[in-house]
Amino acid sequence: MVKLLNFERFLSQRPFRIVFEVVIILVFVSFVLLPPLNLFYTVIADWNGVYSLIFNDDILKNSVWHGILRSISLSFQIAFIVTIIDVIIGIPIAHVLARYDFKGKSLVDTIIDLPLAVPTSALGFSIWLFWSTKDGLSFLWNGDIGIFDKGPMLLILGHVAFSFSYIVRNLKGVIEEVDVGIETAGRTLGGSPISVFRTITAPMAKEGLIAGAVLAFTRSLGETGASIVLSGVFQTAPVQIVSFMDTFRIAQTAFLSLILIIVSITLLVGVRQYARRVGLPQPVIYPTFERKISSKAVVRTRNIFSWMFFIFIVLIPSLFVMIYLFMNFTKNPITGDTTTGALYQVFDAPDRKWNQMRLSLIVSLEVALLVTLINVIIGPPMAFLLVKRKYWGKWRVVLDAAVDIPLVIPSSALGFSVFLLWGGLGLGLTTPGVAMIVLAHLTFTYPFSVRPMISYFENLDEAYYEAGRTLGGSDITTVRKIILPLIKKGIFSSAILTFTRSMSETGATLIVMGSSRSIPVYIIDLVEQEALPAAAFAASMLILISFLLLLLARFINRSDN
Amino acid sequence: MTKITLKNISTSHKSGSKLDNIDMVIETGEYIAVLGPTGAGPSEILKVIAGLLPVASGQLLFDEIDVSDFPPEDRGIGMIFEQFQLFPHLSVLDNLLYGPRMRREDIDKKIEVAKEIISMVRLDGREDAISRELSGGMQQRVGVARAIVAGAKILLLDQPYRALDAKIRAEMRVEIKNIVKGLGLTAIHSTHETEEAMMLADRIAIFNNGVLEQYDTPEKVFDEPRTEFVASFLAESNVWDITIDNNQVKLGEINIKYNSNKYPDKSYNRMVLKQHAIDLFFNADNIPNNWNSFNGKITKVRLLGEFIRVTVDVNGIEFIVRDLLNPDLRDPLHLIDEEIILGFPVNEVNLF
Repeated sequence: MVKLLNFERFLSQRPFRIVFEVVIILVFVSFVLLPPLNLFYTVIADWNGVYSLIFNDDILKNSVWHGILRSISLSFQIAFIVTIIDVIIGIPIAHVLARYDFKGKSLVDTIIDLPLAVPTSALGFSIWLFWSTKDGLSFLWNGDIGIFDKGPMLLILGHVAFSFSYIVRNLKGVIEEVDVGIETAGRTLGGSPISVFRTITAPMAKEGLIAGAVLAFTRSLGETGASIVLSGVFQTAPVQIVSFMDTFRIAQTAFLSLILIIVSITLLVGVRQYARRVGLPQPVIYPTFERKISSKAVVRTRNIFSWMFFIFIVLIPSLFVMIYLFMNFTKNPITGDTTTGALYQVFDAPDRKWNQMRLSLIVSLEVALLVTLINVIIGPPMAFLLVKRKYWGKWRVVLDAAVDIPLVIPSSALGFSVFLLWGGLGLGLTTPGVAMIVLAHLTFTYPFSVRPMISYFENLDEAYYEAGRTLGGSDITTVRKIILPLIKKGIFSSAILTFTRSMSETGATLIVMGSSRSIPVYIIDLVEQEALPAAAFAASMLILISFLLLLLARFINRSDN
Repeated sequence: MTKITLKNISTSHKSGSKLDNIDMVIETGEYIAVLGPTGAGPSEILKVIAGLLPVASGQLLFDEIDVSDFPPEDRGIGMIFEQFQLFPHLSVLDNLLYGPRMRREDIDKKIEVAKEIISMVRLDGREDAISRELSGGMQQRVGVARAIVAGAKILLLDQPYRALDAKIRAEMRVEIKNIVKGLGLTAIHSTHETEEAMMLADRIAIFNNGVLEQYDTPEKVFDEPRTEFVASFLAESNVWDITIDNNQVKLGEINIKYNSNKYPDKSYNRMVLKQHAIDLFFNADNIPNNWNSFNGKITKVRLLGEFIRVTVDVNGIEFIVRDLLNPDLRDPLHLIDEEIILGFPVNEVNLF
């Protein structure tokens, strides 16, 4: 014991501390900031080559550019429509969750979070099964074909399903922070419930609403896994990145990735700058109209509509894959053919899908564990340095924003920039495969381990640390004995978030995986092979794992209070 | 300018409150204090009047109109909150104009009214400030002004000064009451503090456990408490189990005289004696007529700033006495173990 304390005292000396801080900052810069910067540099340095390939090809002329424009414009349209739907449906649901208590509320809360944790490729597959195949919704009336074909409509339905939670989560948080007493004050001054919500609660919750909308928008813009399954010939920009990479068209991939990164960062920075200043239409008052729609009947209808929408458009299609699996578990429900049952396909068929499935599951778990471990080690110290060190000066704000960048960049673009920096075309330190998957996942999960820690450290009372030091602990001892126990729940719940995020990622993995497979990617493979029951088996397994992880995270947060 | 009548009002237990069969009439222009411990009814009665707490049974009348089913926005009340509840994203002036806007009134005209009220609450020049730039006292002035500009006929002040410093609180109490009286508004003010209620109210309603224990003028509730709760809540008191024997209170070994006109029954079993009603004497000749007096011994002395609290043992019964600190008494602690005479008026004996 004394030895350990002395060792910690030894390590607490200034030179060691400086080395440690430099390492932490270097890791942040090289793993998170460097890949996108390097991409930027590559495109600029090789601008003539890029230009001739995209705008001025000998044969294709500028048709590549038009293809890129088409996919970007499709992505934007979809992201825009999806965000609007999310906001309209999300507001009443967030309001109900924030302001009312009812039985099973915490279960509903967990279910709403579920799409955040479930791999989007599993989600997309489930939604495709539900809307586009004869085994889905059409099964009810024995239809021969699905309701929607692959394309924009299906993309919208899919993107709403996984981005919806971002709005509800953010909005619920900020509505909860608005004092009920303030709404009461508005009521006693003559405002009907809807008027009060619009003129008081909504403006006060504005930043949360905008932050949630930006997240939903960028998520939709950058999503790959579900989009691959749902897009068909209508390629969104991230899907196009993957298909460029499939044929190793580096210059085109780099160019498209760069555009997406620039757009996403501009959105993030713009919103950070202006969210506070933007006002909602404020002085205009429609008391009579709003009084009418505040009537109990109207409010109930609206709430019922929102919940119905959530249940039938989001929840059931997202989880439909489990129903499908149940029906096709041992045999096809109509033909009775056991060779198209999930059990046969996974375990008995000659190609032994279980072996590959197990391997890809192990790859996913390995990567997720490793990424989580590294993040737990490098994330909290970086958050600590950002909050407590004065040497950042003005750069503090910039770095603070930089931490969030990987959150909004399309993961396929991020994956590509990792490939470009560390792979054979860049530093040549590694080749596509598990190691590169880890590097890519490290990049986009980094914010999960730093962002929550920043607010933890900002709220942590300095006096704890000071008390520890004055009572004789060295710097490191105090951190270990006092600070770590205070923040360990925070670390643990962000670790779970990191783990689920890494488990569910598709876009970046597709770019950097080489011959390895992660389980979300393997689901896409199975769908492409039309081994649907087997895909359903894998997807259901992933949904269950995510659900359990989510419950665990929730349990930890609960015991926090 | 509105008379409020509560007829047999009860709230349901589901709402977490438990007002039980409340009957109260508040006359036009009256300033009423509602007093009681937290959760016992003061805030709940305000919420019922505001329409924020549903009524399970009974009737609520404003003048002669039954408003029991009116939503809060239609009741024409103004509520003043403990935490002020100014809209943080609006300026002072916009806070004041919120009510008129919601009621579609002529805003240009109302701006004039708002400015008058702003100077009435002494906030001239602060029209464009937002709430976090204002001190607590200023915020509460805005809260009051906001309710008045909204055209409230009834002001509900829900522990309005609790979050303020003692000095500001004292100022605000008087100032706001004068404004309310000047405008002729009917006001209901909930509080936990006897002093605040006694000082401000035309009448005081005292609640315990959702039941209206007494509703009367400050003098009456103080001098003639109707229940043991009222007697012991209004001032720190000695409370004992007693028996009545031969027109005297029997408390342990000692007999106490009481006013049998005030208490004609024979079946009392509790006695409440306010601590400040007891005086201490060194000389038996100084004791006035019609007082009880006993010989005792001082066992404890505690200084409480301008007060002193002395515990006196009389034949094994402990009397706690609260008295102004006599400036001549340089070192009151030397009084311990001193023999002393303890006396109190017969009229101060309250029996239940």
